[in-house]
Amino acid sequence: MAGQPIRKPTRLEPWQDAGQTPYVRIEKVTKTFGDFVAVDEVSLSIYRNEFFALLGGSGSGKTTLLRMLAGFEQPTEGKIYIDGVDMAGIPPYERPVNMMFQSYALFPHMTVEQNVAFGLKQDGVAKAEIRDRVTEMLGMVQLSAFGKRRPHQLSGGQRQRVALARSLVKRPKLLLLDEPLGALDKKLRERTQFELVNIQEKLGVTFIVVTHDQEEAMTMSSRIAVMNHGVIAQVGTPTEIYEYPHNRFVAEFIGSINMFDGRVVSTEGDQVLVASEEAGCELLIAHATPAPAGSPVSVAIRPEKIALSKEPLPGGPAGEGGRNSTTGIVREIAYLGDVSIYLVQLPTGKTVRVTAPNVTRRTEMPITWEDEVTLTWRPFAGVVLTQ
Amino acid sequence: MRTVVSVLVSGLSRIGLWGRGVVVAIPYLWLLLFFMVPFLIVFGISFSESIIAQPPYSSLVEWLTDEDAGTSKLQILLNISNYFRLGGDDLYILAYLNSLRIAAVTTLMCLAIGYPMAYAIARADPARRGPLMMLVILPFWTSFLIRIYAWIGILKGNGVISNLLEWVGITSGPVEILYSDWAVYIGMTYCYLPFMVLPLYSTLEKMDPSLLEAAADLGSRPFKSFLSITLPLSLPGIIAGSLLVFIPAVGEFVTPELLGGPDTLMIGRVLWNEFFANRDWPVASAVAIALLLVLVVPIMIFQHVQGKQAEAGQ
Repeated sequence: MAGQPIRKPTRLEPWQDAGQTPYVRIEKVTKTFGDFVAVDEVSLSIYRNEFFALLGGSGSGKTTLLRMLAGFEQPTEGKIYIDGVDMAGIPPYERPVNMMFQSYALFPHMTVEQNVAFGLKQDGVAKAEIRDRVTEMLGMVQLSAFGKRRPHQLSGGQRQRVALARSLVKRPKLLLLDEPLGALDKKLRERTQFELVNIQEKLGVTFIVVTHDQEEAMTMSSRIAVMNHGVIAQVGTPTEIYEYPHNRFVAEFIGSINMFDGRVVSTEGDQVLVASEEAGCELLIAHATPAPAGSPVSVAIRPEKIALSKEPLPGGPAGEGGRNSTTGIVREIAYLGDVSIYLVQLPTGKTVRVTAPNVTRRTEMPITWEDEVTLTWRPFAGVVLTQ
Repeated sequence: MRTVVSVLVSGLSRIGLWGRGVVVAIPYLWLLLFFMVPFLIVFGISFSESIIAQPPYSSLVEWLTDEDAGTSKLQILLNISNYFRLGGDDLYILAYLNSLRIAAVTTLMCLAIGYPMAYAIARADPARRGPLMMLVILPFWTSFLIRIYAWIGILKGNGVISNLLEWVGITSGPVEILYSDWAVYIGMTYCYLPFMVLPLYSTLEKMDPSLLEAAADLGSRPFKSFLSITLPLSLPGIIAGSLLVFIPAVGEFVTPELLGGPDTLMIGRVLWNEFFANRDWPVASAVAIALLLVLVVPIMIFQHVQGKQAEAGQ
């Protein structure tokens, strides 16, 4: 489901380092529009050279937060510091920040060159330098041949790159991107994701990107803040968010997941045993946060972490007897090429989603509709969520 | 019934005149009959000679028959002295210049008042834009003449403005604004303001507000953003509004007649005098044709700009 992080494995993790000072500090920021609370006491620290994603559905407050960073909205309460400076009352045109707009907001009456040069002109940069920097920037976004064109003579992808060039030409320390790839088609979007990350690493700019596309956030960012109803549901690296969701919202928002409601039977060290009627078996979870026996919990298991087989496996690969293993009947199969999605109905009525890679060519269809199958998973697969 | 229609359709489409053709042809026919034909008649009269007869101008075309020689010829007489008279007499030149000046001042005043108005309405809460635009158009619901007569009451000595100034203590006696160029400017600006506001509003309302945010984000202060973004993007509206005010203002007759002084000489009044007081139709026609030529230039500029806009696809 989620794309592979395209960053090098040896990337910096400044949020792990207590000695680092954050470049952007958002402190208990609240923004209300009339009675509507768009952003609710959000606190965040974003470090230099991060590619930080604000991920959430519409109305989650992610765009409002971005607009407060750019200076188009003022926080109702709380403080925003950029590079240690309190941004309260500082208008957009005096902030060390540039933004790439969702609609691109290219000036229709100016050529591509004039659009890119606009920001430099405002700073009174010398003409020759403006020309050099615009040429360099257009070269970087591969639009050198299009400098004399007007925005309406460009394709969507080209406009997106003009907008990027215009927002980067002033060499901001912090670039805000509002749904930067939203208007592009899928193929172009994937290619542009890589380009954005390359540019960000090359220029050493801190990127804060707003997106509703979890795949986009997973692929590009160093860290993600998942937002819901104006509140941050979880902040973490793509892997943390995907593998260790803190709550049901994050677990269900990112990718697909199976939820089993149950009660804690016992806790041994960091192993938690949960009895779930829904699952029809006991679930053993390794590396879980301990919970008192008897407390209601949900166990979340990703579809790709469940193995499917036609033969009943006594003991199962988990080797825990009847634990982490249940049976059901295949009701639906969706063939996606690289993987297939199986919807398996348990005797309890619960439908479990399982994805399996199509390792062999599916000519003889090893598992088909209405087959009785055994589902098994390892203790490391599940995550215990205490609501 | 259906067969009649289908026969008609097939008949007309055979000669290539149906659907789009008919829709376009009807208004063109209307314009041809009631604009082009009268224009050509006036154009013809402008080359005739004034005579005391009914109608009061000579015929351009005459069929001469020479009984002795047994020949006949078609004679077309074009009298271009009417146009020379326009160029030779200070009265006409002054009237044209005056008209152009008054129209230009009116246009500038409409622009100065109308632009902030249109901008404010375009930036108002969407629910309030409709009622605000309604208020701009509302004066059209009353007769034009009544509104101009109302201005007489406001502008005359001992009128509303005069009394107000006296009451505040700025002036000690009555102030007569009426029957001056200023009264004409005020009256005409008042009359033509909606024609300026409407096209300005429609271009300003279409403008994407994120363009101004983008400009601010790139370091441009609000006033500079206005000059570099809002103003150029509203240029089509400025040009359309200015022409809608300027063109009718040049030929305006009623407002200067009622509010202007005896020395407020405009081409509309000259035209009226030539036609009705002097009964010199040929000169009056020449005045009208010359006025048209003066106005063709701004109309062509407008067409050119509009063409460029259409080409730019916005």
